[in-house]
Amino acid sequence: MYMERYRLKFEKLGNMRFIGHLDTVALFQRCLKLAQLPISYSKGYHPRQEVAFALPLGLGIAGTGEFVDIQLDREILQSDIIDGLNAHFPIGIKIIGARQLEPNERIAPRIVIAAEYEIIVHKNIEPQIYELLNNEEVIVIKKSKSGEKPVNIRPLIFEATYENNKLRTVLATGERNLKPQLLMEYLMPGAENIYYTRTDILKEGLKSL
Amino acid sequence: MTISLSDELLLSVEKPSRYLGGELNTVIKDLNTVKTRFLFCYPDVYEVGMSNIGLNILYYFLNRREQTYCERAFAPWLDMEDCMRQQGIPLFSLETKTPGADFHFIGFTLQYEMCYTNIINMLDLAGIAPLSKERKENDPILIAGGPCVYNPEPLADIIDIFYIGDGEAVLDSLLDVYEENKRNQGTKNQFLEKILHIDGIYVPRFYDVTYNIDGTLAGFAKNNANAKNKISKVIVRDIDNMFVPKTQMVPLIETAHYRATLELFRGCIRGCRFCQAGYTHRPVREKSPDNLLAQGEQILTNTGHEEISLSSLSTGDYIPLPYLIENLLKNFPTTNLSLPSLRIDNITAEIISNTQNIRRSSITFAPEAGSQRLRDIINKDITEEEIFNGARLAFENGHSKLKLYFMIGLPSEEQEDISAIAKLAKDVLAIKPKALIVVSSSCFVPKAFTPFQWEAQNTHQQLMDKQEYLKQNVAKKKINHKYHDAKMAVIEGVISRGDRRVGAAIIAAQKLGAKFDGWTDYFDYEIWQKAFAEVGIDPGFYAHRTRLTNEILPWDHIDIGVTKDFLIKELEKSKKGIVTKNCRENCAFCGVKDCDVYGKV
Repeated sequence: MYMERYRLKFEKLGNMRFIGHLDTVALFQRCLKLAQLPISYSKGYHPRQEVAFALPLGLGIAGTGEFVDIQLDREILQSDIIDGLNAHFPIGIKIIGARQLEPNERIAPRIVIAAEYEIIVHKNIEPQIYELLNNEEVIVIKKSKSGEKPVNIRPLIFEATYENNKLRTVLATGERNLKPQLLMEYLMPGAENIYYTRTDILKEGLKSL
Repeated sequence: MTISLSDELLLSVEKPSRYLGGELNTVIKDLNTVKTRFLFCYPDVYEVGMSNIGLNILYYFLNRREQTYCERAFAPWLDMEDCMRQQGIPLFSLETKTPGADFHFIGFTLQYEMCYTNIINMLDLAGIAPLSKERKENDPILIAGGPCVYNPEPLADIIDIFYIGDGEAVLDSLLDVYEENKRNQGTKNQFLEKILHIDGIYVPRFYDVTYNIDGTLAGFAKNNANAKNKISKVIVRDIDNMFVPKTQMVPLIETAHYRATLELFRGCIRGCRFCQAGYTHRPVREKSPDNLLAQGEQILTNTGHEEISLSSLSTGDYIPLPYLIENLLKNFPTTNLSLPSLRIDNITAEIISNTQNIRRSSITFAPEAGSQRLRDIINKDITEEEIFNGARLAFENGHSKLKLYFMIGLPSEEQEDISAIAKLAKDVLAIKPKALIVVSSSCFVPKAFTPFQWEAQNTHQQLMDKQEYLKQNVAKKKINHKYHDAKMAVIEGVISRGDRRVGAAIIAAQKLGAKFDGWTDYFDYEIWQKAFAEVGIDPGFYAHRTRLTNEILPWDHIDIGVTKDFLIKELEKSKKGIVTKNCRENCAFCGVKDCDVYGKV
């Protein structure tokens, strides 16, 4: 069958920040259905919609440059995809762009290597950032299901710049990933009222998806 | 004023989406154009409330009125309640985050007695006094309806207006009177007086109750000339032309019943003597199949749900059910069907194979009692053979898990009847030894407006002994036994046949920390015992006492259409083990005359 693949760029803001990843996936699947887009289904006993999110977004974090790949059974005007879905999404989720994938392009989750964040804080952390970037090794304690272990997070920080209470940083994703909360816990232990926004998801060469 | 919830708060509670609103198909209105604000409160957790069809119907019914805005609130889960109390956040609406006290109406749905403490708790969180006489002119008007409203008395000192019957019937009239009264700058009391002529409306403050020395009711008298002596329930007779929402709200998290619901009919042709809804929802009113088909397709299209529940009190009794299923599946072939109330004697292979899906391979039947003798007494007119046939049919059509639902503590129950449950389960397993049988035994609670309303409920000790016997004798490798909390059933028994004095115990229990009483993990019997002692109530008087049929019952001023004489006759027939045929086979002259079959069969 002739298939068309699209990469959609979307926002996840406001209250929608508190909808977990699996619920977000279910919401997209439902809205694809409600928009009556010719979404492709996987073969097999339990057909599933061909939908692949680039990278789960942590609970509470806003997203302004999120990505999801969808596969349709036929070509549809990109504006029709965008308008069709936006008519059904709750306030806070909005498709802001779409492009057709080249036949040889790999799906989003396979090529993601990093994510860009904007983090709003309530005090000047310029000195801490300066120190962070000038160290070759920054050890923090990472808590996981299997216990606590020290991790060198410095190689996982690709970029970090600070200006006017806003930290812009690019952090590694994938098997060795760094959550922005862990970085902030190191920079500002115990701090509250930090506002996180993921602004982009990046592939090789730190280029946007 | 609106409430704002901090990120820290939302990240600290389990499932923050319970408190966010913004679900698919919810209604947003401009508050500047809204005149009447109604907060629909569901006194249980979000996932339970959002699965309720009544909430969905009334939400769209009220919001179709341009100047009325119905918003929602649910009982916050315990973690959220702690945060709210610590930070001084009142109960708020999900749609606009408006504090509960700022609404004109607060509506509670009374789905089961064990959520009554949640009602008091939600009022407390909203900063609203529980007793109507303590509330001020500007406080919201409390209105309540739903299945438990047929004995409103335990909440009579709390609720301002009880709405008895189908919500679609006279809710518009009530709100019209409210809006007119407001335009004329009338008081709350004037409004309450002006609605007294509407059928189905019970305003308890206009009635006084007196008691005999033995604690029974001596009299029930109105204290306002406009009040009716008896309050008749209201129904929608022309159910095919009744308001039905074109869509349903779709939560952003999975709920108890995450599916579309299609209501096939109201009322029930069966006269199971323990079942309150079987009497209070009479007469049976069926929607026509093509109407249902259109409604079902519309709801599936507008919600994107993968599953639809064909709901009613006894779905197998809907004669065009096969036609409905076949045609629904024709247009929505991947949709799962859920038929929540099938009778074992009228299922077909067709129905079973259509409802079967991989996700949920179990099927539930309710013989209710283990022995034929007891099934005749409770008027559950199914035979052992029909049970075996139904089980065989289920097994042949791919089900490997069969749930059998029984009640213990039924009137006249003997040890043999309990033993018969164990035997029945074994005999059903023998049909397919590889199957898994789940025997669920709940505790019988006598309810108002049933022939058993005069009967004594078993004590919790009696109930626990019976559960223990079943545990010892039923549970095997291939038979699981599940049972309900006997002490919880007794509290339910006290409230379900309670009078006005029971309200004080509900308020006292909430003060002592009772909430989510229907949840086994949070139900605390000790609290209730303390509450009863505090307000001087003997729970045994309400739960374990056999009443005389000439006693004034707390709900005698409510008229459901079924006559008391009929219920007495049914009680007498039950004592003799005489079965009453279903309404389609033979009219039993229950008194509900506005019925398709009354006196005609």
